[in-house]
Amino acid sequence: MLSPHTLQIHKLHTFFWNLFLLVASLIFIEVGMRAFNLLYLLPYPPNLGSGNIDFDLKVKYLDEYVRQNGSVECLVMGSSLIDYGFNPDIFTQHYAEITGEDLYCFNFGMGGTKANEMPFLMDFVITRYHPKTIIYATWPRDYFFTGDALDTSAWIDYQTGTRSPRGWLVSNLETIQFMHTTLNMLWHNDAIEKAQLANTLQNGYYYITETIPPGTTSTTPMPYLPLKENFSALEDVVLLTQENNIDLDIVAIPARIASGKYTTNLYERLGKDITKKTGEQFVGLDDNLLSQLSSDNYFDEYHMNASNAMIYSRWLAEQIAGLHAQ
Amino acid sequence: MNFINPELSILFLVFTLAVYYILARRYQNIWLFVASLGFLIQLSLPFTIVLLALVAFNYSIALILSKQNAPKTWLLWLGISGNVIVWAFLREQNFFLEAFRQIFGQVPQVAHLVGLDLLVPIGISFIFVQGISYLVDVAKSRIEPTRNFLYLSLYLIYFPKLISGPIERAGDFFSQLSQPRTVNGQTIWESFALIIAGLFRKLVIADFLLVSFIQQNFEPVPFEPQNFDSVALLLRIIAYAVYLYNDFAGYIHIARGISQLFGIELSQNFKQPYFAHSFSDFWNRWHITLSNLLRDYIFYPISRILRKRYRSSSHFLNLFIPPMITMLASGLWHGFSWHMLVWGGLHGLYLFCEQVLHLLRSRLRRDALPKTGSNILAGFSKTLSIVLVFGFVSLAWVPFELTLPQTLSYFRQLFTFTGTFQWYPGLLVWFGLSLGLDFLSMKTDAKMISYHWPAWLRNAALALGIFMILSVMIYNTSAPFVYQGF
Repeated sequence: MLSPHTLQIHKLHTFFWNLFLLVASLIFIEVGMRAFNLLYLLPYPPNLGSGNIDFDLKVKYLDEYVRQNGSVECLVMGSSLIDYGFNPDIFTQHYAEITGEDLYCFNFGMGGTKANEMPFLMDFVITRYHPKTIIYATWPRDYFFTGDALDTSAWIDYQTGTRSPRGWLVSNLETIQFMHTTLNMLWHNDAIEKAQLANTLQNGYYYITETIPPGTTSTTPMPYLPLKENFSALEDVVLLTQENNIDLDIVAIPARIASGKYTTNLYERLGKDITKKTGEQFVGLDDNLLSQLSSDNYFDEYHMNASNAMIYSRWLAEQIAGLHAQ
Repeated sequence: MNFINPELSILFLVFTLAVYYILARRYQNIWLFVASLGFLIQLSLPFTIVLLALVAFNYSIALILSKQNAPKTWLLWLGISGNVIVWAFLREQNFFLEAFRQIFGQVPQVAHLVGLDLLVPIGISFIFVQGISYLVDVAKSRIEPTRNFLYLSLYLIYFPKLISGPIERAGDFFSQLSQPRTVNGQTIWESFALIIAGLFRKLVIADFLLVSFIQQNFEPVPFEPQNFDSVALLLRIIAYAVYLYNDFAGYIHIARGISQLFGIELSQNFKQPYFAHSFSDFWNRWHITLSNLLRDYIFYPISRILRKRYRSSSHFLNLFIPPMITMLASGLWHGFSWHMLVWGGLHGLYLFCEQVLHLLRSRLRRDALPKTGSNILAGFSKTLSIVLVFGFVSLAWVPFELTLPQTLSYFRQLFTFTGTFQWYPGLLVWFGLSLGLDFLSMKTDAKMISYHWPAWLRNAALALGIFMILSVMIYNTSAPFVYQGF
């Protein structure tokens, strides 16, 4: 029995009327948000809580691609070397010239990531986008260090199957993402983020034509000291793709190797280790590619600019066409 | 321990309220006591036991104090000492345990056995000061001691105000406990608005400012002021002032909102403190319940003693000693450390200077100047006063937050006048949000919702607030309240 001194029943209609209006307001705001597509009109991509604007941008563009085309067949993943070094349009065109088939590969390279973060990232893209092919472009540095370029968040967890009220709210209510992005946007003051926004194309490719002359960093060859956990992560990636019937191709991507410390010798040793530990074929750098790449056409000590990226993308198309023909 | 664990907090609150509303009136206080105990136990069982012992101690001392032939002065000092010892031990337990470790090579087994190392001294300064104020009020015959153990227990450990106050007066609180409480549809909605406003202040303004500006730009920890230029340090001062205020005021809104759902009104504690046009005005608006307590129990008694000795109100000691001792006591209440004493000392100095200026000004007016000036000039003068008070108060937050060496380094670096201004639109927006909420609070008599607005507008504003709170809460981990450590 309700205590008559505590709860005045006769005024409860005020409560219920206000509750109704509040719920109506919540629905109205959400509907308005979707009707005017406000989330996607913001100058920044929806903030997904990863702490990495590169990730937010790639997800935004890939979502748009999937919305327009129904699905994405292939993703190219890796670090910022892929971000700068893989041009999807050149790849698709050259692949079609060789095979007569269309294979569109979205550039899902993610700045700062290392091999240890690939299982998490691949789990995310496989669950959300169901690609048929994943090309993992890698280089020795991915194994010499570990990275934490991505934070986990309620949104990411929900996408990879961890159900929670928070995950549901942020995945289903655009208003929450809009508010979070707007609040964060007011604090963005980072030149790197601004460059990311300006240079990343709709296909995920970080297009840059400038170049910085070589020799700004040490050219002493690096010792070959890969970390065990990075190879374990790669084994997890192989298992994950096998479980999901995804064709995984592991290929090398060059840095400014001619004068840098990441010599071709390191790539060769890495290739042997990858094949030994995962049983997967590793497509290493070949003389044909190295002879075409110009040491001047790098943006900085590591990353290719648009000219070298074009050469690499064409070479990659040939390699993948060869692998798929087997 | 983070008080805002949304899922647990909501479950706890809904369950406690549901039972409270169903129970007959005579069982409601018992239920509130049980809920408060449950809340305390999940923080720490040993802490709960210590607090219950403290309640029993205060209860007994007050009853004996009220007897006609009791040695009141002795008993009062005994009571005060008991509270101070418990407070000092809990506040500085790490210091004591470390001292044990250094003397005996390890913490004595008995300390582990009784759980001394498991105490969580959350809000202990609030509990202790209420205990003392209760005993003083009984000793001065301002109130009758309560014979109801539940009343005193709830006065000290009532869960909505346990963590960071507000500091209530025993007489007012007991009278609320003894009367029937009514909660209707309107009060539920007003409570809801208060809770939303509190969460907004805490999560959207304070926590976001902490993470996105203070931590983002002034890492690494520990903060080293000498690595930053004057402009950056100045912006940090403003950001910290806004952060601290919203963190504490946010808690008070939430506590008041929750308590209102049980039909118990808690004190307001803040009245737009950064709109203050003088330092005394600031202390009438900031942490009002503590300020009133310090005023009534320290400032006035000292002033009375001094005025008996030095009759002139403009005597230096009359102007200097009361505010200085009161503010030093306030500093000590916040923590046994030199930097807190500096913070208190600075405020004591501000109040002293203000009184001197006030005296000088009134003499000048009396002697020579006829009152001139327009409304515009008065308005300008008031605005300037508000800005100056905000500036000086914000400067004093530096020793409040940082250690003494850091404070010295901060001030040294701040006054080198180096650096170029970097534009942070977020800082301006957050400052605006905080002022906006203050304005709303002023216009709505601290209810944070106005019945002059159409119902749809009220609820649309609440809905927007909810979305913003969710958008921050979902991504960020909430930081603990600053004042829960006191």
